[in-house]
Amino acid sequence: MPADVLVIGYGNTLRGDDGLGPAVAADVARLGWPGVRVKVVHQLTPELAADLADARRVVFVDAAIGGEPVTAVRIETRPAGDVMSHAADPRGLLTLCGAVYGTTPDAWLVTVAGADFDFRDGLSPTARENARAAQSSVEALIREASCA
Amino acid sequence: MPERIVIDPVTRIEGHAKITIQLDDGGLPTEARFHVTEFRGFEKMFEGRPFWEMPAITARVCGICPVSHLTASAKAGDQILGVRLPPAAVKLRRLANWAQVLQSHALSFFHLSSPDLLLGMDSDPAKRNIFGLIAANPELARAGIRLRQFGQRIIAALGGQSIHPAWVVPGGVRHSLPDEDKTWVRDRLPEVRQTTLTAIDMFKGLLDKFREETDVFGKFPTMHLGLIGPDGTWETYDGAMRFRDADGTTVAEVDPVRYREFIGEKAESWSYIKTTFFRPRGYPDGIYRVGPLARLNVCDRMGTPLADKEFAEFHGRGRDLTNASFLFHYARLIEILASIERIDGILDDPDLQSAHIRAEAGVNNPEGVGCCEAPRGILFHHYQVTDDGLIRKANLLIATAQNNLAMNRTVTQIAKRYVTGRDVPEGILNRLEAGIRAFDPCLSCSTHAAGQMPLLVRLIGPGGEVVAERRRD
Repeated sequence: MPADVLVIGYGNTLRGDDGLGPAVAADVARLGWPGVRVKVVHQLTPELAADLADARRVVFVDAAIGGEPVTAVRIETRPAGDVMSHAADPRGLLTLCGAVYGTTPDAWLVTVAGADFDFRDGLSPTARENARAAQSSVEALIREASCA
Repeated sequence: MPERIVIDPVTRIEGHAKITIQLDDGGLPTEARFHVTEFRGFEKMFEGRPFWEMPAITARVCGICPVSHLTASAKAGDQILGVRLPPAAVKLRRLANWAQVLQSHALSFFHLSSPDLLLGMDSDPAKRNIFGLIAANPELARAGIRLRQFGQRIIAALGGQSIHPAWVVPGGVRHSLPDEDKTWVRDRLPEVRQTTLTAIDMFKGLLDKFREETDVFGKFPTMHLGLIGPDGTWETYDGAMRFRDADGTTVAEVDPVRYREFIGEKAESWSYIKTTFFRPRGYPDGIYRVGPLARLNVCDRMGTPLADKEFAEFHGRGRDLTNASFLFHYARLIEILASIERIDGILDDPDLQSAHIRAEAGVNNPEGVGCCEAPRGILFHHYQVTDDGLIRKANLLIATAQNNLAMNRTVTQIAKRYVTGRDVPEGILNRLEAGIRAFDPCLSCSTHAAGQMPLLVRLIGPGGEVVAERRRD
């Protein structure tokens, strides 16, 4: 049985490929794996710190403008930072979790390259292809956590 | 020679914006402007979509107040259907909207503005944030998170997920409140009530310390606009829209479907956000404010015991103070308290578990105007549809646009008080931002941003050249 893993996909699905994070997270949710919680959110907000505190591993999934199709990097807390704006980022949220709850999960950020961020509902063909690769990456991180 | 100071972008508000300050030949501020630099193209995007999909679509416009967009959109749909909603559906929608107001205000007060209030406007910017707040007052920070979580949990219980629930639909709602969630809410009520009362006491204790900010952060007479219940009670879901003058005189009280007769809209070349005004007085004399401060100025009572006690004390401070935008924070806390009391009051209503929650119909009207109070102020969704129910034209009037004139006047007031030359110290930058933050503007009805927004200050000469620059990452 996999460990308690939290997957958070975030982005605005009305801004084309910015919906990559939610799309990948929704695909992971459809797997229905036990021990895996999935959240699809528009943006990172402070109460998510409580969900982080309950997880052994958290995987954030976000869209990126260009660059490598998929990247997965481990992220750490930072000494200080401003988590509270529309642009709250995973490191800020992780830091908030540590500050409030005294614990942080093993945290990863998976970024997925998008090509079109215009006002549109749905992913571009490039983004759809990258989303499939990203899902494999997220699944690998979940499996790895279950073996740890 | 005239110059401009540019603060770009503003931090800790929802979305993207910048502030420019026009200096005269002597280097003194003459006017300041709050610019929204993100283009909102949603209204065009809605054309051709079925109106019954609009709640679910428009809820995705904003990650902060999706329930408000859902509600206003569904109410426009109710009118297009021409149906009378089951009472249970109205109660469930009200419950969701109180939860929305509560959770959004909690974010604004505890996480965005408390660092300024508790740590001081001149404190180290590296510490003047939620982490500094945790270090200074960990209990308050945790309580704020739990308060927001309380509101989000109610929304999640009704909508299935806290962000963008497609639960409110034209004609009603999709399902009622599950029993286990009702129990959870009931158990958490004493804690959130106490958190709010503590925060109100704390804010009242700070008012003396921030006397200058109260006088300078947008204190001027304007009209106020908000919904009111039939007996003048504080209202967030239905009722009449009431315009009141700064002295408390009611100027107009009408059905929100007539909003276009009373609210004019104007586009300015320097901002993507529409600016609105009270049409009978023209632009810009028709300036008015919306949101928590305005709602407390247009209503006659809150309608619940604890909130009414605070309401009386709030108004006991005089009209001069209740026209100070700094008191948006105070009003926000009183609205959290009122929302908690309203939730408490409705929780045992058997209608919340009713199976009769949706009225079905086809397209019976070509047009609908939906209106409710979003956390930041009154929100309108206006749709015109074809016989098949496809959107021909959509108009969304959001709170931040309605506060635009007042926000511009606020940054002008702050700039004139504090900016005395080319050098804009950290404390002044933050006062300009804090003045805007009092309104809690939500510009995320625009886009999702990635990365942290730095603060960039530019001094621009008359030829457009940058003569000085200062950046805060």
